[in-house]
Amino acid sequence: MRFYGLMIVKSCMLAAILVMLHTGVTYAQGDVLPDTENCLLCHRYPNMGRYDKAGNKKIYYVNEKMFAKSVHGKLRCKSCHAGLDEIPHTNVKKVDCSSKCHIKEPSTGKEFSHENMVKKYQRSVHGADSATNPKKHPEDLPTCKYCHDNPMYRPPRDIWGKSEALSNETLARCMGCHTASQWAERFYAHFTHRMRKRRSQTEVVRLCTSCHEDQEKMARHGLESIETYKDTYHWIQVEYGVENAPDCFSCHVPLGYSAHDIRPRTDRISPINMTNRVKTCSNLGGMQSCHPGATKEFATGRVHAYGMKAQLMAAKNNKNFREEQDVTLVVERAEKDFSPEEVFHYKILKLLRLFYKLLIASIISFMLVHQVLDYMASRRHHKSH
Amino acid sequence: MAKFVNGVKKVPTLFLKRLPIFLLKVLYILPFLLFGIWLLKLVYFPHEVPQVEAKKAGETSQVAGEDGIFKKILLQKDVVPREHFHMVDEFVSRPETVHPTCLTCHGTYPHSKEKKVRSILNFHAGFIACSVCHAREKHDEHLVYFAWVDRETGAISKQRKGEYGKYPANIFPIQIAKGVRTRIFRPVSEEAAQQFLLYKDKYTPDQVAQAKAKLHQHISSKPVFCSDCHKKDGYLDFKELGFPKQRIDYLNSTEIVGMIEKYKKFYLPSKIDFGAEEAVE
Repeated sequence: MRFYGLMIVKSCMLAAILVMLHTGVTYAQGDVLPDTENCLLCHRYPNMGRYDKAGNKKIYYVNEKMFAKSVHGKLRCKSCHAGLDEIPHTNVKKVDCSSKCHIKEPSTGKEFSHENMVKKYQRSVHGADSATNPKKHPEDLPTCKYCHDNPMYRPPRDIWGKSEALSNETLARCMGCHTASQWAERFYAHFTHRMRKRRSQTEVVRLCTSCHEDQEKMARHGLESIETYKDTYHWIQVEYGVENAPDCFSCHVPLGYSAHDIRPRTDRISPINMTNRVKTCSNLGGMQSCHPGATKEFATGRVHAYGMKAQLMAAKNNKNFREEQDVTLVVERAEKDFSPEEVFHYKILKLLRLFYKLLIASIISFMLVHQVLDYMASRRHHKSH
Repeated sequence: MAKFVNGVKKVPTLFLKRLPIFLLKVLYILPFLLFGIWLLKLVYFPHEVPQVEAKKAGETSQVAGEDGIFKKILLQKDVVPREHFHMVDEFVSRPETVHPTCLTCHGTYPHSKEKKVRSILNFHAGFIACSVCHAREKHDEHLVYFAWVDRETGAISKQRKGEYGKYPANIFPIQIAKGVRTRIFRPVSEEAAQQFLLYKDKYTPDQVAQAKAKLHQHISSKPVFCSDCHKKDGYLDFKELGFPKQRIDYLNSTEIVGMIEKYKKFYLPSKIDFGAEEAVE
């Protein structure tokens, strides 16, 4: 009897040790990069780096634990950095996000690549596809890394508010069939990561305006800078953190569109093309349904406030217009973009603005004069008594 | 204002009478004033600009020409780019109280000449003071040993903490003065470096060259190189510095030195045991 008791205790201890080992291994593996090329031999040291010829600080350090938990954490270094065989790495090719990275895409079983997105992007208004969309200043165009960094998978518990228990239960249900816990956790993290909007509305606007508010850069492409957006009720809502407030993506990338495929408004597939405006404003079926009852008359109204182009067009009839203005790309684009009705609207708005400015200035001046006179009268009254 | 009438100080009674009312008025107006300031802040600065996007915004509005580039360098304060693709952390720019003097002028990455090893030498500079390798002749003249010096407290220890360059201390040469007292051996004194920085802008180019020569007079013409340390009984005693045996075996092995010195083209080995370096708390 005593022998059996001892056996049971020993078995339990062994089982406990195995469970502990398994758990330890699982957690340890989650933090480990698939570094089969031993790049971390050097690159795990924080001071790995140098200044390049242009004076930029090049940091070659990789925090392996953080990187392993990032969306690219399962990739080998060479998957992105081709040609790293030689030391020093003089033959390194620039990272090409459209290359295949030797990870199998589960829906097709083919090697994974961002090629689809890159192709779309090259055709888009931000792309440098010279055949379909020639750009005079391709150096101004944002590269993948301008907008994308390498986000870490956040713990799944964030996804439904603070309902950690719900998330744990869901993950446990997945693991009922998908028994490889590490795979299941990563897949779940990936899935829940994609369900979230990564950037807040303010961050989206900051990102877009980091280029689109640069007047010089925009002028090189015949565009006006978009301070005009910040003169709208849309921006006011974003600025004050209103939930469901419309940022740039709300109109330019509504349901069914991709941020990688933003087109000019003249393009018929653009969501801000007049033919698609009702659908865009209503965004039915989307998470953000702003104007579900939008009519054509409502949707085809102006969204951004009038800016530089309107000013140029309003001044067009001046005799010296051509002499005063350089016939830049902006003027050329403005001539195409603005109808006579819009110019008329702009002029009316300008007059109204002037009227209100004068009105406010006169009221405040009157108030000030009144207060001063009143004060002087009260002083005189005080002295006489 | 107090006035003197027939030698007697006369306090303006009207002022004193009005003072409490004035204070009451101030107390009454103050909340409105603060509310107004808060309102202005709310209207004009409702959000903090996210650092990453703000940095990008800064990048796009560059001033044209060389002035712009140098101004940009001057304005770079966030030395750890938060959006770095490879997840850099606070170890990239740790604050140091006990700072290797040389880095004041030579920066975080002091090695730039040798293409082959510059980055590798730079990562060593993250935890080895320059004087360890660049003042080797002077070590012979003094009674010197190597130890860890805590970055913040300056405490000297032979106990290694942390792992893979993420040590809370740097290796410094330690001088034994009068057989008992120990202090950090600095071939370029901090005072001399500070003096040089003070006068640098006033010097002519010739004077700068003179001062630099003087400042670096104790610097070895031939510094310690990879193979001097990474060999058995090498320049640094890894055991004394608290490294585990397995790690010492690797540090003393010839793979890395051979890679740097012998081969033009080197394929990183994947089957070699590099010796784990567990973090020591």
